[in-house]
Amino acid sequence: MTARALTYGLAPTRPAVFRRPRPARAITLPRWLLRLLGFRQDPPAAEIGDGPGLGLFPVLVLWLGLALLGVAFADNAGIAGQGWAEALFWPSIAAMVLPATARIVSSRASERERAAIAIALGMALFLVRLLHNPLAFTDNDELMHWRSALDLMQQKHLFVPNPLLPISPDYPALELAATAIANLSGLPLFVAGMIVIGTSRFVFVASAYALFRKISGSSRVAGVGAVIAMASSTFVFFESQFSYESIAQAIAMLGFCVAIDLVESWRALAIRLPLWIVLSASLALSHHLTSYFAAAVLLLVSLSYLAVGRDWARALRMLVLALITIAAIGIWQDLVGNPTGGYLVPALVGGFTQILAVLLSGAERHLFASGAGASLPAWEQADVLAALALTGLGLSTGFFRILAAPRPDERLLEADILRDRAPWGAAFAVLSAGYPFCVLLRLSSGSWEIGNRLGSYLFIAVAYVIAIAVHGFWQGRSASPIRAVLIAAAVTVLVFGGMISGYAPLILPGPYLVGADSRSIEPHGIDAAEWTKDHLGPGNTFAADRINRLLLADYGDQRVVTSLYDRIDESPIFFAPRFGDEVRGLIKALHVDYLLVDWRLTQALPLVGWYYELEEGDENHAQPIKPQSFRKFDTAPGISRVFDSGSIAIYDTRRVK
Amino acid sequence: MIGLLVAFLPGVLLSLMLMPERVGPVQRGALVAGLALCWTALAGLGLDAAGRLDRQGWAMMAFYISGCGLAIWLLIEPRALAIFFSRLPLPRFRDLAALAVACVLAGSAVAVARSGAAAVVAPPYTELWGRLDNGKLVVDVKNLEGADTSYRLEILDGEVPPSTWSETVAAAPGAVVERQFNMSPPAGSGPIEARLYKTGSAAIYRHIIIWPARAE
Repeated sequence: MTARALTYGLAPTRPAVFRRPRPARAITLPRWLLRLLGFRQDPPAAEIGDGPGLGLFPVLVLWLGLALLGVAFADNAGIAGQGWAEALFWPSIAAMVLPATARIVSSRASERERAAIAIALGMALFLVRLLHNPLAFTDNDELMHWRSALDLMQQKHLFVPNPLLPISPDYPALELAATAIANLSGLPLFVAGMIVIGTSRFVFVASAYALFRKISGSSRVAGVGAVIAMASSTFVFFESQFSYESIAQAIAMLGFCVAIDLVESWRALAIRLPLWIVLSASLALSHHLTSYFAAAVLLLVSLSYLAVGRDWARALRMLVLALITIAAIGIWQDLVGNPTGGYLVPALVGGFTQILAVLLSGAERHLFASGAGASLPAWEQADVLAALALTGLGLSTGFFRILAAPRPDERLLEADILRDRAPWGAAFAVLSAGYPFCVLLRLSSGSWEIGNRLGSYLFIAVAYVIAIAVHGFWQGRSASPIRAVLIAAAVTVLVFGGMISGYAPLILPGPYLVGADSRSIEPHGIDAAEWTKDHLGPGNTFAADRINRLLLADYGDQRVVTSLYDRIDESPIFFAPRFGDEVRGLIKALHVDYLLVDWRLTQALPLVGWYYELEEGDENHAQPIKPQSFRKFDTAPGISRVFDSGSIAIYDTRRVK
Repeated sequence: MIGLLVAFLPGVLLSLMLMPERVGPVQRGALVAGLALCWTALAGLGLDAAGRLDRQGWAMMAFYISGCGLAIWLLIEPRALAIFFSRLPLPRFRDLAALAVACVLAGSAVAVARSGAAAVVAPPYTELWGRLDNGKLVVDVKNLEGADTSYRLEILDGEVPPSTWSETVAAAPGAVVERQFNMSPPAGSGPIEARLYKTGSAAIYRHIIIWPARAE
């Protein structure tokens, strides 16, 4: 086999015809711009097919293991409050991403090697999250879903109400998978949950690689795309949580990967229909937004088959897949109820209203600052801005490259197949155009979360577009290792930017902070929650701040009050300066048996932006809660202070409710 | 470990049953792992309807799905097992060895992180709680100071002027010490307060306030 025949691992269909080289023309700025944007393109670089081994993968995977050890030591240093923790953490992450990406970009890597490296890097980044919280669930969303999983284990039936996240029992795929493993293996729920999330990470990265490989025909695009997908602001931390998005995104990605094969012919569709039904039903049970996104992408690709490929048959088959997915979503929502009315629409409308207000009034969110007002270090701010600029550059150089030249190299055996799949690329290019809007949403504190979540979906398309730019222009036909390392450095900046913009300042574990999700979970609060179970019994109605109510629900087995479930904002109970009729009325309306007061809240503003409920209002965040707001319970007639641990006090309100 | 394999087996057989044609190892891996997650979601619904969402139910369902998958797969392709094993990608020894060492390194990293997280201790503190039980005030002190600690417990009943009881309490680290006080004459309608001081200190360290239950 000739070197050319090794391209894509396949033999050419016909001998390549080479034209006499044209005389070199002077490079002018317009010509360079056309080349930069992709309107003029060179033929793609030749790629090495599969060899017997995995190339440098063994060396790189050992290196990843060593870098993980560095992350573990950095986390421990963070817990101990050592100043050098960050100085070890970030180089360890760079040690993972940079060499792995450089090898994937390099023209010397084989297809199998690229796939193995991309998957190993994805799993290593999953372990970074596990090393952050290696003993128990500690993040906000994790503790919410843990309650649903505990209900499933204890009560052995579905749809047990969960006041922490009322919608969680309606989408039980995550909890079912974790409890199935816990039941079958006898492992603790935390370990079973991490196995589910680790498996989901594997499915996501492997499916992303396979999907990009099928669409582009290039293992380099596939590998680079899969790695860039890890630079999403939610990839390393948020989507490695025990949370329903994590499993749903993996199933959606697998669905896209399978859909490409299913639309090849009516026969393929008919034979593989059961597989699609299994995938779309599982997706419908996993997560509302992800299932909507998947259905929307399938519809968009169907349209793209018409618009770009003029391929009615495939468009129709893709439409069938989309309709099956929509039917699965519809049937499930018919059974459990539609979450869009009470849950999603208010969140989306609120977010969009806030961003409109920001744009119209000129008011601004204090960028790079936590709810407590602390700013990120300058280098982290610079990295996020650099990541945004690089994303913009990648998108602008990949967007037209896909739309302007969807035709693959005709000399390849796969050329026909790739031409048929070009509509996927076009659909991804269109999707990626929505990403800047998600960045805009992050400018307002109210819409930040929506922008962050929506961005994670669109980033799949962004990753593909940037990978096309890297393959077609930035690395192009060059075999230069320096160029590959520079591209890998840029991708490392992207991954850093994603981690910082999605999870800073909680990237390293450390001492207790007020209202700071995982940094607020510590033995003191857990002890108090366990005390309630042991001494008050389970099932009492508690009002508490957003951190302690998670602990009360999970460790204390108590029924907690939330505005999401009870439709009443309980925060005035705690903020009111005096124990008056308003407080008494709320205690009665919410049937509160006990109040848990965390005196540490009087020492600082909450890092994530609120103490109790999102609705509590900015007027309560000018300074920390006043101690007298809590002291009022000590003098309120009929309210017993039954527990005191210094930081935490529990009040019995049953006499006044 | 066997339980874990049982949980993932349906994924392997479902992937071969629902997509038996040759696909690349990356896609096959994704399919196997993905369907290992999917089967639990769908089977869980069935088990819930049957009221068997327990260990036996899951085991039965795993074997049932695996058995059906294997049977259908063999029906589609009688030489399925031979083909399956012949297609298994066998990595070279050095690749496998490197992967194994990397797994050991990753496992060590998890062990290091676990030991660091487990070593976290809360700042020293003491818990005080109490209740009224048939006219008796029951007060508990839990010492989480990390060292033997001596306290003075002071009880003030709700009368004016208050009657006061005072007692010294010594507790070993982690120990819970309980004291009972007969509220005689029976507690009136006012609150009873228990104050805990660290021996040698005049500042109230912990305190609880108990209101008698309202007469029905």
